[in-house]
Amino acid sequence: MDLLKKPLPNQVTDFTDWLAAGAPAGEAIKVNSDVDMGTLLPIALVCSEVQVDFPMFADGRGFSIARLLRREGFTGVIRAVGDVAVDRVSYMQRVGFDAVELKEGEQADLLPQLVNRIQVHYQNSSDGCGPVYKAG
Amino acid sequence: MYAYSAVDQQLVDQRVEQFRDQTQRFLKGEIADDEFRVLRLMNGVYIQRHAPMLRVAVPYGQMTSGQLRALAQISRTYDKGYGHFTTRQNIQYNWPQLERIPDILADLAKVQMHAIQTSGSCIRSITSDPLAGVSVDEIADSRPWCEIIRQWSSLHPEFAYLPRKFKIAVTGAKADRAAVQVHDIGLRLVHNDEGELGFEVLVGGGLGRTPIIGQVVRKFLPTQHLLSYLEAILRIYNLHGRRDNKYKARIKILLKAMGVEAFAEQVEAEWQHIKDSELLLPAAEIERVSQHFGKPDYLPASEASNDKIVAVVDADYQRWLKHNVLPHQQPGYRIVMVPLKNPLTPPGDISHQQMDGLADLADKYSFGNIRSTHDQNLVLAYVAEKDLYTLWQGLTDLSLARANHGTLTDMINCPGLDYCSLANAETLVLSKRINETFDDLDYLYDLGPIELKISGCMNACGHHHIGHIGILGVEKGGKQVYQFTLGGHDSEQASLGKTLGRSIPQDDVVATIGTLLNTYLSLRHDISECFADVVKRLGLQPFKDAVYGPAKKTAA
Repeated sequence: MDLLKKPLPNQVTDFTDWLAAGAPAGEAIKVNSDVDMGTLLPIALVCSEVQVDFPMFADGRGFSIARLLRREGFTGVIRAVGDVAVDRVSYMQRVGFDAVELKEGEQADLLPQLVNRIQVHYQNSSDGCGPVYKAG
Repeated sequence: MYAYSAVDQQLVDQRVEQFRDQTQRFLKGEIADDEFRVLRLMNGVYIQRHAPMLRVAVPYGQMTSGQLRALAQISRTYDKGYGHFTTRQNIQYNWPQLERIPDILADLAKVQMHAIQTSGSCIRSITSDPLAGVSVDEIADSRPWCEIIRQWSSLHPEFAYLPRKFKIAVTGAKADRAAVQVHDIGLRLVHNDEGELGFEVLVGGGLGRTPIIGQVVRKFLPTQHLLSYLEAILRIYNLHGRRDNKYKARIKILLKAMGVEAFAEQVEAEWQHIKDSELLLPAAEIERVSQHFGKPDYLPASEASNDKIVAVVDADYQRWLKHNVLPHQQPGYRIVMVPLKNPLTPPGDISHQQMDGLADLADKYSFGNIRSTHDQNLVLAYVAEKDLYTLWQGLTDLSLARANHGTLTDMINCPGLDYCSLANAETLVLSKRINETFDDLDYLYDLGPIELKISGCMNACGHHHIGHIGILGVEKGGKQVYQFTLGGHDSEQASLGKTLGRSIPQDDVVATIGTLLNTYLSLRHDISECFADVVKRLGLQPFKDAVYGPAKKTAA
């Protein structure tokens, strides 16, 4: 499963620390779900990886954060970290995450079958799918 | 009536298998309770007081006779032989077993139905005007737009974990029969000065703990931009809605905190990014969906109408004709309201025999179409005048011809403490007593149209804030007492009721309603001045005086 195979970066810098250090290029950064997108979006493109934290599974801000990063043109790794369970990964993949770090106790071996359980979509999204009416 | 494409069918079929797998893993202990809770809610499954409850989507209130028969069959096979229509046009089963819910969902999928997003912190099933396509005051048919929104919102990957539930209602008529002003997003189909069709977009309405009327964030949105604009609103809400307190998490609180102008500006800025993306609706797609909602094969007016039927000398039939039958946009046709307000059962309940019988009547007399309404009734929307008398006889045999549409006993009621684990007070005992006490139809007709709405807790599923008389059950010191609000209504210029005074004990509720009604009758100019109008003209004081005794004069 590709989502699990992206190697973890050697070092991850918290977004605020990275900002304070002058936003150096090529680094992996970690953002909280309440990150100010107006600050993040214009400067995130220089990062190699953005880790988006899910503090609890009900907090769905990370889905929009990933979506906006891809729209902005970010091509590095976007990794979901924190409260990440196998049953939510298909949606994560669709909004632009290409790596996930599952929380403890999750059955990683289920992932390949779970992410492809539903193979048709009504929405356009960051995984390249167009809405149904654009297909064919 | 929309018919599924192969893609639509594949999506619901695969969704059923996804939930079957999730349920099996949960029952084996492989998914934690709180994790499964979210997954089951997005499939319409609540765990209630007695058993799981399954809420099945009736998208924008439209059903075929085949679907209604399937709902009847499900109630026989998996439940206790009845269903309960809700204030969001959906149907609930109160007694299914969790293990068998995937089988129910599979049965639903066979008739192009589902329970997707009827619950949970996501975009809920879309509600609309139950008279779309047939009402005399129609601007444009809302159903194609509802179906387009249904598809866009179903399994939307970005908006499945919102701060709170999110409800969208659409109306295409002048009168508001969809309560669009008390939804998270309310859409009104309108024409601009150039005669083009578009939407007036309201945001931030809602009932619950903080009842608020929605505000206009955009006066005219061209129809092809519908989805991109909705997506912009949802994205702003998903990123900025409060997540620290579930009672402050609805979009109405965000709108209030930001102010409507600032909110509209943010939405506009986000919308500029996406308005011409793939979300721009192609004319061909609008046309494809619209074709499903064409007019049925109406008979010419000369064949459909029959003057003699209107002259049938039967007092019961005449009463029904006057109160339950509405005018239709097609000459020779009428709309027939089918109240689910049987005095012996909770408002909105319907037995499997009634569902089957009504499906047969719909096949014979209404092109096989049945609609559900937000006041918990059903509608046969395509009845030729010549068939009215025969239909009335059929409905009478099914106990579905009670001529109380729009009257006091056509009340809205949540299930209350008897079924719901959120409720603080019983509501069904009230509707039962109200039915027993106010059983004289002539008295009800003399009162005129009056909206009585009852909720068993602050979540306001019974919409009590917008009732002419609203009743909210609360628990105080271990006793169930009821707060009255007066003067609310949900018409084109909706307003919220005002609190009458201190709470009323359960045993005094019916007598209090009687006092309020008598006060209203003594104060109104005539029957054209409804209860809410009198409250608006004279305020609460005369009603307070009648219920609590004249106010004491303050000492000088």
